[in-house]
Amino acid sequence: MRGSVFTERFVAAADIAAALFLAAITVLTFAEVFMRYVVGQGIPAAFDIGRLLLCVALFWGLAGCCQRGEHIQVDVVWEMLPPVWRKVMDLFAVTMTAIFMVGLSWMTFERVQSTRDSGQVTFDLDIPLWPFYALAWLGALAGTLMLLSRYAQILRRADPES
Amino acid sequence: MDRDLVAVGSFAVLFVLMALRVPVGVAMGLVGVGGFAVLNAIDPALNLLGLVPVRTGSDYALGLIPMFILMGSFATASGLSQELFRASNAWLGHRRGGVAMATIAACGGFSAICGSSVATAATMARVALPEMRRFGYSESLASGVIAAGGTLGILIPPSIVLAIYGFITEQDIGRLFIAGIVPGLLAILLYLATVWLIGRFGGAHVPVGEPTPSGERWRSLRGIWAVLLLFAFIIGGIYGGVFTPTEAAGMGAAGAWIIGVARGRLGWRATIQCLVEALRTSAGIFMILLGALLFGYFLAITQTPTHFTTWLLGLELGRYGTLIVILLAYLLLGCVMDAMAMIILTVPIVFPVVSQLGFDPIWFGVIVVMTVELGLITPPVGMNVYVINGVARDISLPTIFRGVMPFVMTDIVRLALLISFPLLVTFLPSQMN
Repeated sequence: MRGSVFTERFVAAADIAAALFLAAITVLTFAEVFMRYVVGQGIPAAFDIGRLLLCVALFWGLAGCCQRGEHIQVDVVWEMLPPVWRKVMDLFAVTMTAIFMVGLSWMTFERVQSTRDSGQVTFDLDIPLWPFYALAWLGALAGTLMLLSRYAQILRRADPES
Repeated sequence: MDRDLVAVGSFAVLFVLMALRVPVGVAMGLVGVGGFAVLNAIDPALNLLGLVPVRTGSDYALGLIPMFILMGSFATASGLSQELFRASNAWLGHRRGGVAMATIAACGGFSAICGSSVATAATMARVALPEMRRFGYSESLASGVIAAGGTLGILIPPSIVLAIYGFITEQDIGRLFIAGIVPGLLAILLYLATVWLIGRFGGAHVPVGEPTPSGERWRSLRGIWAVLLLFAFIIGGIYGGVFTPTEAAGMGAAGAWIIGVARGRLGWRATIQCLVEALRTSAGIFMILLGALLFGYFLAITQTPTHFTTWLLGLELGRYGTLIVILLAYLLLGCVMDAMAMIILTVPIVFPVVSQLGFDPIWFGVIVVMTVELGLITPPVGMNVYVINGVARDISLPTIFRGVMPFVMTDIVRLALLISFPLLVTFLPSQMN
């Protein structure tokens, strides 16, 4: 029980953190256009910072998706099955998602390392890319760990989606 | 190993995984990486998993999806749907079938801010259904109007599905949005005509609404003018080349938030809630897009799109014959698959055929989105129908499906019109800066 409360709080915190990244991207985009047309000068590196924050936000958004099982799925067969088979099907789907997320987390971590080692930076202001990628990787890792709580959710319920 | 055999096997595995309720994006990603490993080697396949997600996630153009979704969330939280319905009802409600017509007009207005059909149907079901019930509309007509009106969200800009199509086929998303304007307006007009025809000849109970005094009519526009101005500003900005679609999305989201705050409808908590909702939806789309791109790399090395193009063109059905076969396949697939998933999975395969046949890619984007839109209201999946059933549990699914049938017919007529007169779609984008 304590574990599930912790998970809920963690996911809520992750959601809010990711949401704030989205807010930052929106404000940056708005400010960039406003500055360009009103002040006559854009914000330096707004393009690069915006797209890197987007990457972080989307990866953290994946964590929430994994925990709540909010992915786009085809339910035609599932809806015809009795609860016990629905549960089996859901466990299988979560296992497949976990395999994908483990691969994604692992290879994104490799990307973080290679980006850091090669010293890649943004075009305008020479901001290193790897800290953004590392934040995104943490989102993928959180998503992978969240799938454990998804397993627990499915096993606890008689009919997982009822 | 034989590439054709692996390609055929991969599609079989993909459909089995999707039928077993593995998320569509995950299924495509796993099969894509697995297939790539079988034909190439495991290391390059895993490298794809390191490259594609980060590159796609940090693609600036993709930013328009969460920001346009955010614009819709802010507008919904600000009570725009009620205001739109109130205004439409004030102007149209006194006619026979006026409340149903007002619902369609409100759906059209809401679609101009929200790019999702399901969200449009869910929101308008809460607002318009009680009102139509109050006036004694038949349940099938009332629910059918909302289900059909909801589909406008997928076409009237900003449309998330059109943006995804543009992203996959590397078409200008701004042009796609502008191309959706005339078909969207045509849809509204034809839906209004359908309600009028049902009232005149259909035999269903289609009541006359209450007239609204002239002063009240004008006052009803107070709640919506700012948001409609915002829509005109962002679409005008895209049309005039003043800003990119991604910048337009940022302007739209920020503008919708400012309007919501100014009207006292958006506080700190509601703002965070809208941001979280928008990001959740966007992350779901991101996952499916990742899967599609990974699967696309695998398809490229199997040369499946090329083989499919050669095969389909070899049937010698002619330009329009081939197009009709493709659209029929979409209609069938729409019976079992989500619109977004269908576009992402199939467009990379059929797009080369359409290009080879010399069809305008922007025009085809609109046509294919309109075709998958039919899947939202046709059985057995009909997502909008399920959404309305979720809001009004006492209206059965067959009743709603019966109610949408006249609108399905209207959609087919509209599709035929736009195939016959492509200029209706391509004229506005051709005039863009």
